[in-house]
Amino acid sequence: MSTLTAIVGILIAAGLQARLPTLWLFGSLRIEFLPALVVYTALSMPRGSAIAIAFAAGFTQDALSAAPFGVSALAYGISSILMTSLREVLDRDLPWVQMGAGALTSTASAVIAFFCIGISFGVVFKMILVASISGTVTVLLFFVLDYARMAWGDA
Amino acid sequence: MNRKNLVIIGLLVVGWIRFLGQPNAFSGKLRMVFVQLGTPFVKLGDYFPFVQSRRLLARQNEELRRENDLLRRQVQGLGEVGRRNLQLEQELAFKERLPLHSLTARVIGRDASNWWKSIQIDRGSGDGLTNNLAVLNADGLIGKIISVTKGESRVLLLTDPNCKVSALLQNPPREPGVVAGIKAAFSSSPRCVMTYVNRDAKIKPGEPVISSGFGGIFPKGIPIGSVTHVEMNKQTGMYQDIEIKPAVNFRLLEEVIVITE
Repeated sequence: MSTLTAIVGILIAAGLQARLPTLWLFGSLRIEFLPALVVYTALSMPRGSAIAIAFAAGFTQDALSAAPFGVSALAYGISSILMTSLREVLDRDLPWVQMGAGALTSTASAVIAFFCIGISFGVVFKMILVASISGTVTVLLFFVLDYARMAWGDA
Repeated sequence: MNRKNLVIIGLLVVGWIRFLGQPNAFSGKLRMVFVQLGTPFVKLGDYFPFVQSRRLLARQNEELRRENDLLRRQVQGLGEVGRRNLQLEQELAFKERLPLHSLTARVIGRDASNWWKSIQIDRGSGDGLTNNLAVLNADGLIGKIISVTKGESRVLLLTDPNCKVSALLQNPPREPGVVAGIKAAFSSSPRCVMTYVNRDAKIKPGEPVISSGFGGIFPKGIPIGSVTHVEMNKQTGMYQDIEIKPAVNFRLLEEVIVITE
């Protein structure tokens, strides 16, 4: 995956996050695509590019949100630094690793947000659900993007 | 994890607190760059109707049909006196609203995060919008503008805990208080809470709550919602906390009105 493809992917994912309706059955949860993209780049691209892309993803999410600017960038950046440094230990092809990394990246963003909005039982429950959905989205994204790379070569 | 990574993460946290955590010119400019990069991709959703859920569209359709039926019945039932009354009411409402200059705007996006509640509208500084302008619709108060670029603005919704509105109960004794969103409430129907309400006031569920006009951002008399539950503040016991069901359905927002003056 080239850096340009990743940047376009970030913008599309952020646009989708801001436009798709929430899952009202799950208490109006919003599906997050950016944590999955951050995990994918962290486990697939050179370290410098992956970290830069993680920060760009966070800044884009914050720009399309009422969040204090840089909150998500900080969370995604730290997640990317940790994942890229643990790359030799993590087997990127294992769905459980993908799911765990996606869930933890989403949780990192939520935990930093809690410093700004406060914490409650409802918030923690929501965080667990958001993390579970993000983990599932990450596995699906790995499947789709790996298949696309296999079919069309590395864009 | 090695020591180098820990140092980098520490520097990032300190850097964020120093340069981005507080509103300043640098973070403002950086945010504007990312807003302008991201907004065209948000607007792309206009060309893909599938991003609107079928369930939402079906519900909107159902609500509009019901509203249409109701309006038809009302029109049929109105006699000459009713028509005259309606006309006078409209004239009065128009006169009352006349001093407020307003602008309509279309909702082009929601909040990209799960932890804050805001919408993006298609009017910006190019249309004369600035921060802290009140946003509403025919049902009631929606929120206030918190960031503006040339062609778009972000509106912090009333249901966000950071959006605080000075309010009062519409019925006597018109007790005042402060309305804010409930902290990231895990609920499909968002709620607000009105705090600092006199502990001796007798408040019944269903009572309407309006903006008080204090604070200078929100004009007086805009409907905020209605009381659903009243309880004494658990921490201090010095005042009452009132749960409010907002007058506006935030899920179905399409058009809003910005009060520009």
